[in-house]
Amino acid sequence: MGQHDVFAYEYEQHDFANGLRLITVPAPYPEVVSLYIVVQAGSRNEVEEGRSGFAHFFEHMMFRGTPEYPPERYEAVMQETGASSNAYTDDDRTVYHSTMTKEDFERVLAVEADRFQNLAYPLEGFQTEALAVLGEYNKDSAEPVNKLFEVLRDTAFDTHTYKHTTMGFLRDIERMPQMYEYSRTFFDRFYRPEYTTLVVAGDVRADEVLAQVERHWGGWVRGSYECMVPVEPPPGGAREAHIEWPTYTLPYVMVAQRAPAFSDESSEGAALDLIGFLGFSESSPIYERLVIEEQSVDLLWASNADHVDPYLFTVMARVKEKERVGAVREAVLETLCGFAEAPVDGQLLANVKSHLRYRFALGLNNSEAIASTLAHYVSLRRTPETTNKLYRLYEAVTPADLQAVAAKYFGEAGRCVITLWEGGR
Amino acid sequence: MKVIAMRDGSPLVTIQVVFGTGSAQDPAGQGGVAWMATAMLASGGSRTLTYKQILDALFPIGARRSFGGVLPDVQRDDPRSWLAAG
Repeated sequence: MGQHDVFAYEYEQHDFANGLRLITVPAPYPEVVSLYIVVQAGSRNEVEEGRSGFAHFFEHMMFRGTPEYPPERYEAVMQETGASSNAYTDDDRTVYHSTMTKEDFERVLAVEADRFQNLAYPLEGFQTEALAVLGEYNKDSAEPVNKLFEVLRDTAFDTHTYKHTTMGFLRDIERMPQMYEYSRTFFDRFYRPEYTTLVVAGDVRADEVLAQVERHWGGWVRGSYECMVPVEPPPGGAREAHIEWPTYTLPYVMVAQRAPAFSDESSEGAALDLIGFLGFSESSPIYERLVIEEQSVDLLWASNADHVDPYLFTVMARVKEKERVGAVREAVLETLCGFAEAPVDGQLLANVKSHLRYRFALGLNNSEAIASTLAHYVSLRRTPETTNKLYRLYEAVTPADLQAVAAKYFGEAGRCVITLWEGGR
Repeated sequence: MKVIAMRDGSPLVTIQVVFGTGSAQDPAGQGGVAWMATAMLASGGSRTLTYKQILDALFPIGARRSFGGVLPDVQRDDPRSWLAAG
């Protein structure tokens, strides 16, 4: 590996004529192959009124079969090959993944190619699946953290599609059974080669994978849809919301600040990632004080989650007593603002950078881990190279950069605070 | 002590220290001694380094230390720092 490349594996990247991209990582872990099919469409792409939650709903529909492989035949192939297979949707992506032995790779690749090109489902199956999604919403709603995120997004954003969660607004989920026609439109727009990247990692040869993908995916027809996602205007002032939770729960407080989009060119996001770790990880002073010493908080984390468009730097604390929520909120805000006021210790920053770099590299210790990690970055920049660029940005961040980014993003104007505690029964 | 090196193309290094003792060697009436001794070795300090010093030494290389079957991965860059702290 190059001294400065955190992604230490050789890889091949190939663009097919139809716009499909293939990234192959021949990894030194025998017998196993992992296939991640990354569609660059998630709840961010749900730009039309009344269609929130559709990307996730569509992920369910992808398991509803084709003329050649009805659901039971698709399942039989997965059973016979012993492939471990699933899918997930979030704001910026929908990912279909399977891990199998190398002997079964082409068979799985062919079945997957078939459903991406020939998906067909009856109205009845569509409506059944819509009810399954409503059930999933109801199940998730029993978890206070999901409600916190739902209200946080709705409060923090006005026009951008990040206003809704991946699950979608309840009012839209309830109308899903009536949207059969629209579901065909959604498939026609986004399940296209120019939105899709295949990541193959494992015991493979890149030239063989290229030929196999050409054979099964080469005839897929390019689409023409361009998704125009609304730009979020500046926030124009602090925002707050409170949730009364109808059953027993510990209280929560969530402090979010508007943050920049993912970038492998600008170091602002990298600096915010480092602040998240320095400020709120288990080795941070506030964690030591609130969780270990005072024990007023039993859960504390911060995240500057990578997003295609500007999103939020979020800190969440679960507080033992409602009376302590105000003090915890102040402690979080003091910690955030503290990064603007004084520089962090240079040696501490160097240690954290080193830790994050090695933790990332060490996480890539099997073929599935390689493919799943790349799937995340590929949905943002469509190449593994973005990981190397990102970790070079981390390397270059100085204590002064942390101060500058904190001063720019942790002001009151971009703040959104959500609280939740028991009440309103 | 016997050293076995297994080379492959991976950029990661896994170091396992295998002791030929386990619960089979627990003396009668003292079941669990082997486990406890291992826990002390993996989750405690030493004569030269406190537990905190060991954690601090491993932190920058992102290595994890555990016992019971899984042992640290370090990047090929720097297995020496793990060997020193381990």
